[in-house]
Amino acid sequence: MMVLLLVFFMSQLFALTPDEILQKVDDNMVFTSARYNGKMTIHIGTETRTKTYKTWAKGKDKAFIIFTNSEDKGVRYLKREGSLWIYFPEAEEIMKISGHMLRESMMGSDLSYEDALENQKLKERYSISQEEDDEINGKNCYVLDLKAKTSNLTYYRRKIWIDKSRFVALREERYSRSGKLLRIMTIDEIKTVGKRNYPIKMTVQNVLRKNTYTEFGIYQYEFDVAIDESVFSRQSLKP
Amino acid sequence: MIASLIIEIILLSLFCNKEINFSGEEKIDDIIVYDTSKKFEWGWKNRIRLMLESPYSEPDKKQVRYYSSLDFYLLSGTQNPFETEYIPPQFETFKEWIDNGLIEISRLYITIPVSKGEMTVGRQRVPWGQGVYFRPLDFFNHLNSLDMTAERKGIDALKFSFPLALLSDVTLLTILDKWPGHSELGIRSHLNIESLDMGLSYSYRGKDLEGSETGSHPQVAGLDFKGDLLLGVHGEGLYRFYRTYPLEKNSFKDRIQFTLGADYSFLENRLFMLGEYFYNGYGFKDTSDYRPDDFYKGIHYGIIEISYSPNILVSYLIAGLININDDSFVITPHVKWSIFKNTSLDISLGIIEGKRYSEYDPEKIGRVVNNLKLSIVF
Repeated sequence: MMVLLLVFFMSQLFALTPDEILQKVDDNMVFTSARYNGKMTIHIGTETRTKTYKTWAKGKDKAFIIFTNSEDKGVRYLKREGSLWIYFPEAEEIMKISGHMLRESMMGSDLSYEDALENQKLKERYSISQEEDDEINGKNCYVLDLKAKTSNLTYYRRKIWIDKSRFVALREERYSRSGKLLRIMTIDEIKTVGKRNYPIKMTVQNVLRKNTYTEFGIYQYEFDVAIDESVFSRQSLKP
Repeated sequence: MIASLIIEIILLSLFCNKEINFSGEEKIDDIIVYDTSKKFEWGWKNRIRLMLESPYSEPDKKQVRYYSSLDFYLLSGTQNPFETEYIPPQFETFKEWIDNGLIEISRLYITIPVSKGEMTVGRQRVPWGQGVYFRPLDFFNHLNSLDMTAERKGIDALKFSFPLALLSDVTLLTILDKWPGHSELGIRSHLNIESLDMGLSYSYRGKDLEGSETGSHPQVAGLDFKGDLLLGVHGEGLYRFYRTYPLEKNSFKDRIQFTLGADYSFLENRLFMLGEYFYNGYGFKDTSDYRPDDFYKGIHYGIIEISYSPNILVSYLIAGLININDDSFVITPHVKWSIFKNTSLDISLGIIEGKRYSEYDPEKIGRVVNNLKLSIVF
């Protein structure tokens, strides 16, 4: 009996708090800089459209993307501190995207611009509580329930299933303030990159759209590499 | 044209990597006009565009970049109000085809890093201003007044661009002319202040205006902005002034033109609305002052656009443009459909209504203009 009590006491002593779990997830997911090639496949009913791109990202708020597939070749995105600029080759000009449009679908995918460019620590924006553990694809998971600390966030509530061994979110559900499920994200493949476990394939479903989902994959990735600040400048948007 | 091609090859071999990306686009533009005499007219324009460009250079490695696009047009159609765009000409020589723009180098430029900035020389687009439909500051590249969103003609220019900060830069520009003294000069500074993008522009035209006294050189000072104020807001304006020597011969009046607009999106951003107002200081109150082939000669204009994109395959748009002076208008429903990968179809309808001799007089344009565009990229 004493042994059981001791085991229970020790497990409680070493159990991670929700903050600590999220910190470990952030340590995996939030990078100082990254460079990778990406591919998104948008499924609408039986139709698919594939887009390929190269990405440079630095810190929380800087990202630069250039699309390389034929249909969108030369489209460039620059995100800095919550603002987004896009170079459209067809119009041959750089346009600043209005703040409200950041919630718009990115290139027709199930992800919004805001989702795609997010690289901010969750615990800075959400208060966290822990729910009963669950299982996803045979992996034991912590389940965290996040509620927005401020009212200006797109997702008021997020529910995340976190792999206990690798500290990667295997599934996430994002909800509006009214409690409506907006998006479901599932991780399809995880790779160990240095000390990180990073998801390299995931599927996103915008629940408000019918019969659609988007698969994302990243390839030729490098994390925490030196990227010149000039990459995230207006000059880079010019062809 | 042939000289341009030779220059293109020389530039290519001198400055660019041996590796060149080739791509192309096939665009079929079909137009059907139902005119007031209950007669159908049609036109068909096929454009094949071949593009050559240097391989994409990493943004942190400044390299010489090169881009060119060569267009070939095939036309067919009956007499209609857009005859210059669609009627097949009867040319006998290759030179005539080139001289009439049926084989055209639409873009040909090279960008070379210079110190901290870069220099772009050749036929290019110089987009000034931040309006969406009405772009008074975007005056360097010719506007197709029958299609405000159509691609603009390239201009032969030499442009230097230098960063002032990461999101701000200054551009010096000269539009080249056969006679150096006739060139246009321009300077524009693009500034970013918090969430506001703004531009300050100035341009001087060396060429005299047609029919003007010698020395009537127009100058333009402009201001434009784009930012957020609960909804997206944008605007651009210009002040065009003339300083002639001697001053008493000045027969041109200074004028302003400006655009103010706002946009917002709803329904998880699938529904988008945009409104724009345009003030044209060059406009006429009285429609009898319009020439038959003139557009945008009124003083006050408004446009409203509503678009809905349920998914990547299809989008719907309806735009209404009104000349507030004479109450004539055009309503344009538009559907864009991605049929297959790299293939899209645009179908639009222009419903035109207005009094006799108004800007959008159906007698002048046709009552219904049906436009069908098929684009294939490769």
